[in-house]
Amino acid sequence: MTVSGALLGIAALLVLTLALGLTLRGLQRRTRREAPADAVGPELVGADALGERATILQFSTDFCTRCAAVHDELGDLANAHDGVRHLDVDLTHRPDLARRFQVLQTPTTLILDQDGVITTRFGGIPGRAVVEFELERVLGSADA
Amino acid sequence: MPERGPGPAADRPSRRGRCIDDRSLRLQSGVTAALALAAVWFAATGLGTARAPRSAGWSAVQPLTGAWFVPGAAPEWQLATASVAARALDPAFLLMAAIAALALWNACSPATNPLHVLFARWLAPRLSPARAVHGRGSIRFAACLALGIGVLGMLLQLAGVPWALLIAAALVFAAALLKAAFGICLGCELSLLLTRAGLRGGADGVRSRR
Repeated sequence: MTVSGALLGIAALLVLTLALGLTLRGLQRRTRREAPADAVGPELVGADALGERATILQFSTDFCTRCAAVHDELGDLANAHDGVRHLDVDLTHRPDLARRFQVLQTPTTLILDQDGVITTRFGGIPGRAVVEFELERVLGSADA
Repeated sequence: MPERGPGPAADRPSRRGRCIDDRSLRLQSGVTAALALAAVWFAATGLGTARAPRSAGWSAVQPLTGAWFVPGAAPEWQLATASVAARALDPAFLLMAAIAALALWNACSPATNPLHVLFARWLAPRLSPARAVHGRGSIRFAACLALGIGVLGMLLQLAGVPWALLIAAALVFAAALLKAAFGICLGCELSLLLTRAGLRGGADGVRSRR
């Protein structure tokens, strides 16, 4: 291959990789409000009970690099609010839940209201302020 | 309100000591990406993709197909006629061997990897505590992927297959750059898909705060 051909090929490789990276990163950080659907029971995720007013349901895997930090952050948030419980499910052992909730990345975090209905879904690493805002929205509607 | 959940209690704080800081692996991925890019360059401009200079005055026949090979019309791959030693001494091959060695080291003992030791000794004390960590399992998974691709490329090069090493180096480069520049761990994403397909995993587990 000529030098100019090699340079062109390397430039194309670089552009493709960067485009893939930007696309994947764009897909990873998503906050989405869910349409009300079936309620999630505590037994489905292997817990004895959900939070009285709301539940932060986190999905992790053993290969996930940021799940531990997100686990601590969400735990602090749950501590700061009465009646809110934080559950962290390791999907490595529960592939059925990964399929049921269509988890394509970890961490994925759901906020459930008092009845266990999913209200919000966070893909990737959720910002603390966004989670707090959504949590308080759910708590506010629970009190109303 | 903090409540203790059923099942195994949170085991992360105890596990964290044996984990590797994400930034160390991003640094290592950056080094791997640089080596892989150099390998792509040498493969693209060197033996891996070069065709023999055209020489007139001879031709060859492929007995099985009866096809005639005329040098002027379609020059043959240099790699096909090079000796095994020449294939192995190709700079692209040597760079790939270095990448494979680092990957093998991470697959066996990530804590003693020279690049990680460098990070732990010189950089980590100057940085904030780790926010993201890799467990042994994810490091081994990623290292084995890189090792598999690298070794396959090297074996094909030794067998005289043109372009194989270049493609392997390009794949390693793309994965390493994604990790270094974006923090995207392709192996981790892949492992979740494998879990969903039921190819990984085991007994049930749920963790609750404290």
